[in-house]
Amino acid sequence: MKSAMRNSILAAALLAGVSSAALAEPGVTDDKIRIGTFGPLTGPVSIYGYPIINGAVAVYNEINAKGGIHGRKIEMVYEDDACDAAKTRAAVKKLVHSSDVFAIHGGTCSSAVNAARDEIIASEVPYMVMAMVLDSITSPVAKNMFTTTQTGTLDGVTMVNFVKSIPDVKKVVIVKNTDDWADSHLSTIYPGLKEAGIEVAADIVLERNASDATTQALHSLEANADAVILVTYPNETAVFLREAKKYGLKGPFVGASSQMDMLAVADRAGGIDAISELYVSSYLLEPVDGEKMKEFSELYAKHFPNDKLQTLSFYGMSGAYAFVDALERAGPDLTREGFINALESTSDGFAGPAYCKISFSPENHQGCTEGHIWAVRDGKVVAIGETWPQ
Amino acid sequence: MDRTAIMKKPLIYGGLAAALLAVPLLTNGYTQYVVNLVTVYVVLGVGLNILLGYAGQFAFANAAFMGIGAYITAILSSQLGLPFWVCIPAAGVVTALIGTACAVPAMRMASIYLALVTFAFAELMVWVFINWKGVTNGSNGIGVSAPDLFGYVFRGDQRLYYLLLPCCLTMLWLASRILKSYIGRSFVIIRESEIVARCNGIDVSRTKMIAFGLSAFFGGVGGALFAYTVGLVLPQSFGLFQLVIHIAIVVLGGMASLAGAIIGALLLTTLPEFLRDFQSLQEVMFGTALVIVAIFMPRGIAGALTRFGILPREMLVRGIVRERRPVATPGRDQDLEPIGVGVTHD
Repeated sequence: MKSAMRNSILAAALLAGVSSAALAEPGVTDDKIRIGTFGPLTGPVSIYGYPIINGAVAVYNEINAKGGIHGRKIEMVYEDDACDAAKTRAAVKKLVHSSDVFAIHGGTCSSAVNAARDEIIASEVPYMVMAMVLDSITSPVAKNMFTTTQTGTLDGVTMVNFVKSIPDVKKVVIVKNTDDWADSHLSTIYPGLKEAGIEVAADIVLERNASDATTQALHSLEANADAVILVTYPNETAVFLREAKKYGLKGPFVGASSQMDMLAVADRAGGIDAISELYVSSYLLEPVDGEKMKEFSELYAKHFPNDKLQTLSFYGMSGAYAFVDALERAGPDLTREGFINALESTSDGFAGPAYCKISFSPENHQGCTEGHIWAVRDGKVVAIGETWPQ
Repeated sequence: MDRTAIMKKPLIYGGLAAALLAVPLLTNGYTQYVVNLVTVYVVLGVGLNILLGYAGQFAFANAAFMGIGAYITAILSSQLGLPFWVCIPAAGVVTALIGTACAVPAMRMASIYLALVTFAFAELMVWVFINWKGVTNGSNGIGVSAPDLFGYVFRGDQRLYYLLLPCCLTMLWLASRILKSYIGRSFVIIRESEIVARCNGIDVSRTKMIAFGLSAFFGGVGGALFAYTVGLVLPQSFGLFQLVIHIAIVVLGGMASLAGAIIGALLLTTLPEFLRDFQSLQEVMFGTALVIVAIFMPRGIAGALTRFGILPREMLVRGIVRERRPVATPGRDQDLEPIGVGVTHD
């Protein structure tokens, strides 16, 4: 009898333990929510690592400083992916299987993260893109993957809409890099131009890390186009604009959001004059020193006083605000399912320094779709709207 | 061989096989993925070791061979729907043919010039992977579907391990057989002295081409296994950094040693994972390790372990030259000595 009772108590205790273990959500305790992040923290592209991630961390740190969310503070777990496909898979697997995170907010290299996409989907861990632009990350929609970053195709739409608004544009030159990032932009630029009846007079490739663009500049000059579209990274943009100035090639030059740090492009292109006719697509409210960015610049500087403030510093903030908002709305009994439902019900949410309101739905996990144009006015980079200034 | 030794051998091999088969029981998704990468890099390390370590050719096209194998696998499996038992050998054979073709111009060069030409070939291949969009899908890469055998899909890292492990062991066995054959011994003689090789009736050019082809074959198979492991083949995966990993595996593990390739792959794959939390230390540690190995262990960790009696000597010719002997008298023995130096790696 005694032993039967003891066995019953043991069984009950065991069941209670099992059921509480089953109920416990990974990465969530009474006072903490563990969020994983990954990016190129080392290696040649580490410029897209901490500078971007720290923007998001600044938002989370600020929330922690205010007491956290439903009494829980956010704890970050960092993993390095070095922008390499194999390492990115390892980083995601480690966060999911070893670090036991509740959600992931990370990834700044499109191709590398694409290699881990199936792993993220299979894990069912809620995932927010940190700063990638490849459409295939969030399309087709996966239940647990979200982004607030402007994708390449949407960036292309902003660019082509601006080109269409330039008075009397009949033909353009396209100078492009050749990779997935450039392809995603061009997938909307070409149809947009065709629809508007704008001819592509020359379609010119500029290789990555090119140190000279004489051929491309002369070819563009020969095409005698009304505008030049630059689907290029900052370094190649600077090289092209330097040669354009040298050979008297006139703009307007319409660039992708990769060139948002316009003053850095100017430095490499040989001065502010070289970018006087450059118009760049942007998904941020304003340049770093803009009035509307002050709140976010101060937030970043408060938590990372030794970091240099740059446009990269704001890339990850909108996703962090979306995460925080959904964590609040998911309530104190936090589950992954509840959190994903909360994310999917986000409507016109606060996007921090991003030029949009965040909206998700079960059919749409692309939170931001709007972009606008930046240009240089009186030696300063300013936002000029979505169309050619009147 | 005494009776105890005869009984011991199957026990050791049996225990080792059981331990290897039991690995997925002890791992989670992450650690199993790292183990899987080790098996892939063992094959790649062996491939480069054949050319660099055994044949002494300063050729640096291994990352390109790996890429070719990976792309062939991705195209055959995902676009043509062929099974893995066709894709993996096809990746090896086609890459071997390309590797052999590469050897033709490379035969006219030696040392640093050969290194430059093969390095240029590797860079050219990355350019091809990016720009031959109709075949390679450019920078977007090609997804690789999980391999299956009669309806059993090797999906997930634990299952995939049971495909990678036999492949890796088969490649190790194959390498061991080749290196212990006439061809393998010819590689070593060519490395030591081409003149001596010619004097011994070895066709140096032909043998070098075989070394290139074999190395490419292993690189191609390694690439195929890599494609199945990572699931997405991207051009950026086969650049300079990949090559540096391969060279480090061979140099740190041990030149001209199969055990060295295993040790190197194990170290170079697992250490960066252990050091994930000490990122700033990683590069310093690898740099220091390479310098230390280059100065104090010219034959790598495997060579040092052999010297201390921890690892047995790898003998390409069993029973002929067990110990280095001082050449006491001129004549026949003197002629054998250079061959003896070549076939033992201590």
